[in-house]
Amino acid sequence: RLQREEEEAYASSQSTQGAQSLTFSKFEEKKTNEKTRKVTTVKKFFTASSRAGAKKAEIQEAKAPSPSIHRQASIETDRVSKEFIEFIRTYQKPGQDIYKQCKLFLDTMSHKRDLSIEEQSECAQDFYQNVADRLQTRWKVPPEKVEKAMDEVEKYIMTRQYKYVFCPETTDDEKKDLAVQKRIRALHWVTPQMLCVPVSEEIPEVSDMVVKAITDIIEMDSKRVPRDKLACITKCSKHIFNAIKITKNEPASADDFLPTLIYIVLKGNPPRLQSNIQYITRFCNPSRLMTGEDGYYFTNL
Amino acid sequence: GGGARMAAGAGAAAGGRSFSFKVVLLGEGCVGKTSLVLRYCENKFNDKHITTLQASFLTKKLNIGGKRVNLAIWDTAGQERFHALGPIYYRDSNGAILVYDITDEDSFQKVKNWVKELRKMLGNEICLCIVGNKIDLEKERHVSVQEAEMYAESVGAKHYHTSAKQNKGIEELFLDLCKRMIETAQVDERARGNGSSQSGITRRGVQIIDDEPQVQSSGGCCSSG
Repeated sequence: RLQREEEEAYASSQSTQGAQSLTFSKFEEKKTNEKTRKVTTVKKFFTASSRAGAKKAEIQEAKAPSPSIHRQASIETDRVSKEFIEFIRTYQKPGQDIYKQCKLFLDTMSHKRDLSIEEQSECAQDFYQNVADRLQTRWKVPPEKVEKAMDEVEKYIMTRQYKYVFCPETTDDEKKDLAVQKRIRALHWVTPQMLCVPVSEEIPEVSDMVVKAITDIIEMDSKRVPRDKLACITKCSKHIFNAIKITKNEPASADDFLPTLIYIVLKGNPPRLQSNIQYITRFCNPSRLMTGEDGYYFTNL
Repeated sequence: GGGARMAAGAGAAAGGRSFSFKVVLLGEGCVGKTSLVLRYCENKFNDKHITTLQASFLTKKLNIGGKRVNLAIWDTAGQERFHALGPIYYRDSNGAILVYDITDEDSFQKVKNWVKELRKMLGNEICLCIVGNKIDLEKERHVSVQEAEMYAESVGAKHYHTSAKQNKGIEELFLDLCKRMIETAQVDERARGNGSSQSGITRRGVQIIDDEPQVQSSGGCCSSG
């Protein structure tokens, strides 16, 4: 079935979006060969070209998830579920409550796929808020433990929601991704000197850090949990700071950091940048995003 | 949508007297913003052996009269070409520290531009500090004390003089700012009817379903936002 879908997708892309497919294949080069992602993209392409058919397919899929398509993704989902249940056991009664709320949330959301992505985001944000409030006020769980639980809740629900809410076809995220990708490619002539980037790549240690930073930012696309994506940005930022520190022998200020981050993004041209940023904004637990260190690096990006 | 939610959350946590504040640092490239925060958070100045990796995001914990305060200090790129990015940094800030160099008239002008923009975008919710740095270079002063202080008063900001080099005025600056932010947060809280920090948010979509009667927290939870 997978093969048939892929063929169909290919055929429809050839006929209806021939002009676009050239750009698209370039876009695809950037991706790693991880199977699940490839499948999603192909499917997305397919659905974009015939919306009605796609809807039907999705409903079917929801009723009887086809193991052949999402095998790898579902192995990961199962692993995350197991870990979540193990974790939640350590919270005893509040833990059972969290689990029940998560199940209810996922069930509710499965009936709300027609809502706009902003509304779905709002639902998720309300859910985070409600669960955190509940742990704190009803179960009197101390703040550090609430935070830890919320991280796990995010991981659990977003691993499951990812395929529906990452780069959804109801938005123009994918179009914007391609535009960003194209724009960055067009800026290939920009040099570190032009950006006044305070890193000397002639120093082997520094160029090593630059390569690591680029790898981190590209890796973001392969994560499914918003917080894991965020962690990639933070890791990337730390490598940038190291590169600056080795070059200048002083702690990096924002004046140093921002141009360097821009340089790294131009050099790495990370896949689906817009979609990843939107996804994090919409579905990350807000307490992480706004005040913490991760939030600062994310804002820079 | 997210912005308003966060703004409410950035204030005071309900119940426990603990506050989390976001403070944004604004000012031209070479006015010493970074030295200022490094001095405050790490007590370091131009230290060649400094182990701090970066000074663009720093945090500091304080205890002011039994109230715990967590400060997150966000540095911003001072280059003119990044000016347009300002809003994404100062969004949801509780305080702003606007730094100029007392020997550089132009840097004071830049501060004035930031003040105008901040007041326009965030109104009076944000505590503004205008900081004349490098008072160790008093002899080369190009911005008059009186002018700077009068200007600050006219825009509802407070003015401070600091020297990161000599570690002067910096503790005072941050302590004072924290006290003002606490006050603002408390006024805000009272205005919202002592609700939880998220009381203004209308809940849509998913509701938490309860199988046992919910114990209501003391604060009203449905004041309009």
